This record gives sequence, structure tokens and C-alpha cells, in this order.
Amino acid sequence: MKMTSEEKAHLYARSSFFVFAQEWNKSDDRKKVVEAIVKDQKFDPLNYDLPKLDPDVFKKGSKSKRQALRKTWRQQALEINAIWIRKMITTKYAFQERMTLFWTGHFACRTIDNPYFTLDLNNKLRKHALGNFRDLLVEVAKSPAMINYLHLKQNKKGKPNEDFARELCELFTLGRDVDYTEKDVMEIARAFTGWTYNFNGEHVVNPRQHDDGEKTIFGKTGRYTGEDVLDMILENPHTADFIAKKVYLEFVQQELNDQHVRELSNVLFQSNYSIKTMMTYLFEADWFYEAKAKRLKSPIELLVGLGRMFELEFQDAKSLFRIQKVLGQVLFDPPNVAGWPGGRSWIDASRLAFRLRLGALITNKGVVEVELTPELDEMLSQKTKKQKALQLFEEVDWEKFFRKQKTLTAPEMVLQTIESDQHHVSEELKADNIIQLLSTPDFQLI
Amino acid sequence: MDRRRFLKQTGIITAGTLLVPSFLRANGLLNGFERNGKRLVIIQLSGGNDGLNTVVPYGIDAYHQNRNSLAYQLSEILKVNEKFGLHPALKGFYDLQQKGHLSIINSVGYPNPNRSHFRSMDIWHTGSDANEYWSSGWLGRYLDKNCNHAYEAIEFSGELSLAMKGEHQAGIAISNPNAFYKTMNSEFFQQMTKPKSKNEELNYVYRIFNDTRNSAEYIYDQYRLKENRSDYANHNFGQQLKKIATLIKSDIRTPVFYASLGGFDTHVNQKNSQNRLLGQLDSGFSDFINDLSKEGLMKDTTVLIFSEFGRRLKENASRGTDHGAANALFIIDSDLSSNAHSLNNIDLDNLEKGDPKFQVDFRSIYQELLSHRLKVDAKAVLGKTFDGIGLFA
Repeated sequence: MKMTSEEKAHLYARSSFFVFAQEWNKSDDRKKVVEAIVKDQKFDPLNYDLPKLDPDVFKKGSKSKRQALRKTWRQQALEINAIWIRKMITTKYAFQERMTLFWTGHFACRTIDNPYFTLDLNNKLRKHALGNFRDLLVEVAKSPAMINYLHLKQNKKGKPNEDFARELCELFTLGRDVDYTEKDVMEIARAFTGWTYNFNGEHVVNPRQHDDGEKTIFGKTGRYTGEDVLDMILENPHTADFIAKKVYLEFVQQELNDQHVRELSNVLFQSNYSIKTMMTYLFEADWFYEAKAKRLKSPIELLVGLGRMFELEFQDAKSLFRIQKVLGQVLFDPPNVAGWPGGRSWIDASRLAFRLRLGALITNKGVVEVELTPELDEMLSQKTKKQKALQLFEEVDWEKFFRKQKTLTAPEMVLQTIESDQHHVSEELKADNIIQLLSTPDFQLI
Repeated sequence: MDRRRFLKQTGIITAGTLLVPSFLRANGLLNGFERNGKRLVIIQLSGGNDGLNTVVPYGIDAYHQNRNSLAYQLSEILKVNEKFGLHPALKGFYDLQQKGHLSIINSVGYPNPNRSHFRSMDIWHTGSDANEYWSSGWLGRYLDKNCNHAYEAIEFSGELSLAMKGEHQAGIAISNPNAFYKTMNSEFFQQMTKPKSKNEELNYVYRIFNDTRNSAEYIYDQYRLKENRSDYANHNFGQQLKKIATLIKSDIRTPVFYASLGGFDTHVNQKNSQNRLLGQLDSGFSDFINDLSKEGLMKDTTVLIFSEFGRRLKENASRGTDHGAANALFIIDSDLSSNAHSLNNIDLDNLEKGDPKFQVDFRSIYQELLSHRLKVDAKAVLGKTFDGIGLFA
């Protein structure tokens, strides 16, 4: 099937944040372009050197020592947060990172206080981002981060804690109240009793805490373990429905089309939960291309998109963190286990005002005040409180920027998403024009 | 290429848009505004204020037994009745309570309390059950059903609280009306008009964009109508309330305001820090009440003061307290049915995981604020009906 450059722009924007036109696959066959993107990915772990944990600090260490350690941890987690954003900007495997970003919202887990949990879970999501959903689910369920976040450590024989069991069904697999009962939740909690991790961060089942008695789950009775339950959940096609729906919302649009979700779900289920197969199907579908510019960019998509466009380095982790906070999406710090609600909830009046000016702030070599407010005029006024201002953005190399866009005109490239009949600019544009384009409401869409 | 031609070609403007009239004036919406109910001011105490040392149960033995270093004695507090008194810093609150304009509501919470700040604050903001995750706030859903503009719910902060976000409509967070107006009404933004599009998302962004511009202009206009010469305590909380009072005195069409005071997470050496914070709360709030009362505006104003949870009855080893559950809250209003609802309704000998059990669901308070003060269908906002406690006369 023939592929237009508009369709390519859409595909690259949605799958890879932003890619310069000259780096697009040259084929004009949709199947080939999709294949090239999907095949070109690889697990490239996020690296950060963390010292080996000393178990004694937490068992015997003084209060002040533990407090100091917590502070260090928070700083390290903050750095990992910035490193991930930089990685999304510079990586060759942008689609793998884009999928990792999707899964970090799906398997929402607050790890911002713990760099060990953060790094471990993030790399697990990255490793299986385009792999098999079963492997991904098992790895997440066994990760210290999730075990800690959803109180699996407190889930003991005779004293079950249902937190994990409930969210597993409601938010990770089947969807709220789909094919499970309160009784199932209680019995599933029993199957996961004893799940914990050792000091090396490896998953273990503590036999003394594990309830190996008979459980009745989804109408079947047996001495089920946690992994048995995961398989039973995956046998239910409604799990594929739920994942397909989440993928549709993230990669297509907020307005659900039941038929298209069903198609995705069937592909996922019939391929035995191959994420790559589902995504390939999605990117080849005509209806994927009809959704052009019909999604609001998430804050991270917006930031990373700008970062890739202007090759920004975002050197100051703290400022980057503050920007995420104002935009309403801090990596490793979702609002709760349900993740970021997304869609139109990304913007309200104050956030939109900030988002509209973000491009100008970045490309004007702006500085960010220590007290970040949505009023960017205050932030941009470099004269006032200069000593309090943090340098966030480096100078944009405009020459390089204009050199890189040869195939498309600048507005088409910046607004890869805007409706085609709205812009026909062929003349050479200046930096000012680009900044104005970045400041349009249209730029908020992808 | 000149800028105007460029913008035209990029579809950002169409001819003649420099003369876009402000839609507010064009539609005459500013004329003849009449509020149905009262205006609501929400004050959030972030971090989990220790209700047991705010509404002090000095007459209950278990209180003294569990709080060796933190307990207040009768001689120190502002006595309300034979069992309870207010924290010594709350003099202004005590006056209001004695006049019958403030009600103390004890043991407010929800079933299966969550002791995480984030989670419990979310539950208070959204009005969900403890095992539900809602993405819209209770005031936001009020806005969804009854309002059309961001300026109808205002918060003076850098970030809009979840409580103020609905599914379709949200309030606005600003810190400086002047700077916000200038940002949103720069020449460039003035030239941008909504394209004719079938793309609902694009239309949505432009709707929020136009509303943001109009709200910024309206708030700015109202804000400078009359300089607020009243003295306010010189701390951030006092200044937030001063800005709110300035707008209220301008007769702004805003039914909901939100302010917050943080730092109540008093795990260590609680007495000093809570004393300082409640002092700020009392001074800022008293200035606010005086300011509005002078102009007779308190009769149209109801205030709710809450925190995400109370604290453990038993103090910890650092002269502080840890996260708890049910808590005391305050309602300020000129037509209350009592100055103490459910005040004595607390049982310190019968705890749940170390905390007093909740007796009043916080959503029953929301329900009464919505139906009796904002005069709207509370069930449509809260999703279900709660037992009322008859707050208002």
C-alpha cells in the first residue's frame, strides 16, 4: 500500500515521538515502513551506577544515617528520571522507548523514592516492551517495586492483603469488574501469599508465608500458585480486550471504536500475547492514519518531541523534574496505581498556558525560575531574580535544524500533525516563525 | 515573508481577527449575574494536620495517657465544653465558634482509611471510595454540570488541585493575575483564532485556549477594580487569602475558591511546628474573615477547612505523631444549625489500628455544601447519597 509523507509523519510521531523527515524509511510501501520501524528496535537498558545495597544500614543503622540514605536515594531516582528523558531524546530505538513509556503508565508504580526499584522495574518494562505480554506481566508481578507498592510483602498465609490481587485484575489485566468477583480477589490474594524479594532484588516465595491450600478461582479449584493465576487470567480473552483498549487510547484516540479495539484484541490473543504483532497490525491499519492529530500529546511526548526536534540535552535534572510536575506527568511518580488518566485531563487552563509557551521558552534559551509558575513571562524575564534562575536550556542550533528538514516544509515538520489543508508554506522560514508554530494550540496535538 | 502573511498561510489567523471582541463582553455575560447559592472557599491543610491537638479532647483520659509530651492541659487551651477545647493558636477560630459561625465536626473520614498522603488526598479530592481511582475532582464535577469557564473556580497556586478538575471543565490556578493576563494576551495569542475543523480534539484545545485567555482577562479586570487595602499577615497563606478576598470584593462571578497551607506532616517535634502553622492559619484566616465581614460579604460565603487525614492517637518516640485516619474539620458559615456537629462523637478507647474510627463520611459534608450552599444536585456530583448531618439552619 502506498504511503504518503503525511502518513509517515503520523506514524513516526506516534511510534517514535519525533523523527526528522530525512531519517524516515525511504520506501513508499506502508508495510515496509512499519516493518522497518518495528524490526529496528532493541533492548538497550537504561544504565545508572548504583552502589550495592548494605542491608545493615536499614537493619541497624542510626536514624540520621537512614535519613541521609533516603535523601541520596531520592536524588538518584531524580537523576534516573532525567536520564530516561534524555534517553528517549537521543536513542536509536525510539519505538522501544515509546512502548516503555506506555507500559510505565499501564503498570503504574510509584518508585520515585527508590532508585533501585526505579531502575529495575524500568528496565524490565523496556526489556519486554515489544515482547510477550505474559513475560511482561510475570516480570512486573515479581518485581520488588510492585511487590512493595501493592503490599505483597504484607500478604501472608492466614492474613492475606488483597491490594495486589485487586489491582492485578482491575487495572493490569481484566478491567474493573470483568469476569471476577470479590471472592475471586480474596482467593487470588491467597495464591500470591509469600511473594517477596531478597536483598539482591530477586523474587522469592517464602514457603512459610505461602498458603498452598486449595483455592477456588474463576470457578475452578486447585492448589494454585501466583503464576498459575496469571496464566488463568491470560487464558481469558477479556485480558486481551483490556490491553487492546489501553493501546488504542494511547496510540490512536480517546474516542473508542469497538470494532477496531476488537481487531487489536484478536490479534493480541491469537498471537499468544505478542505485543509486536499487535503493534504491527495497528500501524498497518487504515484507521490508525485517520486518527492523525486527534490526540493530545502527553507531557512527556511534548517534552521529548521538542527535545528530539532541537537535540536538547536537558542537563539540569531538577528543572526537568519541575517542568514535569507543572505539566502533570512526573515519570516514576504516577498519581496512583491507575496511572495517568490522560486524554483531555492533560490540559486545563493553567497547564495549557504553560504548554503553549514551553516551545518558546526552550528555543529562546530560556531560564526557569526556582519557583516555577505557569506564568512563563515571569520565568522568561531573565533580568529579575537572575541569581535564583536555573539554566535549563542550551542554545538551539537553528542552522542545523533548518538543514535537517529537506523533505518537508518547516511547518509541516513542526506540526507533523496539523490538518493538511491548513498549511502550505514553501518559503524558507526563520527561527521566529518556528517558535510561533510551537506556540500554537495545534502543536499540542499528535 | 511578513509575520502576518506567514500566520495567515499557516492557518493560524484569518482576516480581521485582530479585532476579536472579548466574548465575555460581546455576549453580555457580565451583566446581571446573580449567584444562586453562596460562594465556597476551600482551605486545605496539607500533610495531615493532627486533629487531636487542634480540637483537643482534654477531658478524655486516653488522650493524656497516649500523649506524654504533646498533650495540652485545660489551662492552655480555648475551652469549648467539658471535654474539648481548641488549640491555643486558634483564637480567631474560637471567636467565630463562640459566635456560632463556625462548627467543629469531629471524626470525619471514610471506610478503610488509607494512610498515604497521596492516596488519601486523592480520595478527599475526588470523593471516591478508598478502593476506587477516580480522575476527576468533586468540585470539578460540580463545574462540569454547572459552569462553563475556568474562572469559575480559582486557586492561587502554581498547580491546579485535582479537586478542581472535572471531566470537561476545570478551574484555574494562577499566582499573579497581572503576569497571567500579559502572557495570555500577547499580540501573538490575540491573533490566534479557532480554525473551522471537524477535529474534536483540536476544537477542544482551542476552546480551553479561548477560555484561558478570557478568564485571564476577566480575572485581571476584576482584580484591579479596587485595591485591597486591608492588612493581611505577611505569609504565603495570608497572601493567598488576600488575593481571594480582593476578587470576592470585586463581585467576581466565581463560586469556588481554593487555598492551601502545607507542612502539617509533623512526625518530629510536632508542638513547635504545629503551633507555628496553626498560628498562620488563624492569623491569615482571621484577616480574611474581617476583610469580608466589613463589607457584609461573609453572609454569602461558606468555608470548609480540611486535611487528608488526622494523626495517630499515640505519639511517637520523636515527640511527633504518625499518619492516622479520621480527623476534625471546620465549617464557617453564617447560618449553621450548631457550632459543634459530632464534636463529642469520638471514642479514644476503641481504636482501629491505633486511630479513632470515623463517624462522619466526608462526602456527607460535600453533599450538604453542594445541595445547600452551591444549590446543585449533589448526587449528580458525588454519584450516590450519604447520610446528612444537618449542618445548616
